[in-house]
Amino acid sequence: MQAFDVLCRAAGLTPTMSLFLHFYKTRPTASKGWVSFLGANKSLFTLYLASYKGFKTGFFKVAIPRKGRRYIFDEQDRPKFPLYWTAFPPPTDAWAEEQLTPAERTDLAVLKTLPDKIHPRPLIQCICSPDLSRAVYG
Amino acid sequence: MSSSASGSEGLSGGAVRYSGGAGSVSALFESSESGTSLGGVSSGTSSLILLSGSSEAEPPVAEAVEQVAASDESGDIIGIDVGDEGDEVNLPKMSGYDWAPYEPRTLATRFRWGNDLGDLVERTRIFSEEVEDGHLRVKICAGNERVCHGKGEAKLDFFFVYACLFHDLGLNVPFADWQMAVLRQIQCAPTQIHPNA
Repeated sequence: MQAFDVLCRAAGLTPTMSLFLHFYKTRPTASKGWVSFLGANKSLFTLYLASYKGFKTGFFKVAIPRKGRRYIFDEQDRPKFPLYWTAFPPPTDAWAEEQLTPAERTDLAVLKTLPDKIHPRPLIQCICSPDLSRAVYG
Repeated sequence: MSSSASGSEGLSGGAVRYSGGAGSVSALFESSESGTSLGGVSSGTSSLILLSGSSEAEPPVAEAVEQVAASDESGDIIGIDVGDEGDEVNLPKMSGYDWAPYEPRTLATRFRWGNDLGDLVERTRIFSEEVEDGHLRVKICAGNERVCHGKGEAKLDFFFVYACLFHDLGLNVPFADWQMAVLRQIQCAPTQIHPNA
């Protein structure tokens, strides 16, 4: 997701939920510990790393005091995302092109011209670059 | 230099590192505006790390943070809430998580002391600039907490995060609106998706 964010910003596109989910579906299973995004329609990125394991024991909490709720909760006081693990997350299919807004379809046309299997790691390392688009394309 | 033994064997070390118990501000590195008050300590862009032991009683922490903020408005102040740090192994196992996959249900975090997160908080940006000081707080987990656990008895809502989200992937809290919308759409918590995916 983060690579998609950087890629879009560098290309002058607007990342959105449905644009991202045009490229990815999920098939959660109880036997696998974590949910993965599975490529659909186009293989935008390779894996961040071939093996990525140390993360499992590296967690901590972000507590949300009352005065900070606005960052995490919407106007109806619903969390903007599930704060806690969902027991059985449903499988989700990739969004079809027809479900995208006209603006998203314009951005999609640009994304379709990009090569497959971009390496996300160097891309993400550009985040700190003051001139993002030159760092990505240059 | 800061690689003191961490992880599961950190109990005694932690007790030595921290003199105070709950409620004390144990470590406070302050960047000076003049740059001369502390010999050898780099100033200017350094951030403040505030370890506080009061877990969910907000007022004392908030006051401390505000006082520091008033004295140096340019510095980042991140309070690490260590109310649950390093507690003993005989905490009860939380029940009701049989549905969760094996690893997230069984693996504890290696961050058991405020210092374990000090480096991360110091070197990487956890909260984006829009987040006002103290409005979101980094909190250490208790020994029996697992990443798949729910709110339980906690007074404040919270969510788990992996350190790699910050030092590897460059995310900040709050996440981008569209990323939060993806999580809502696929009905997964931030730590429920594989960070490699």
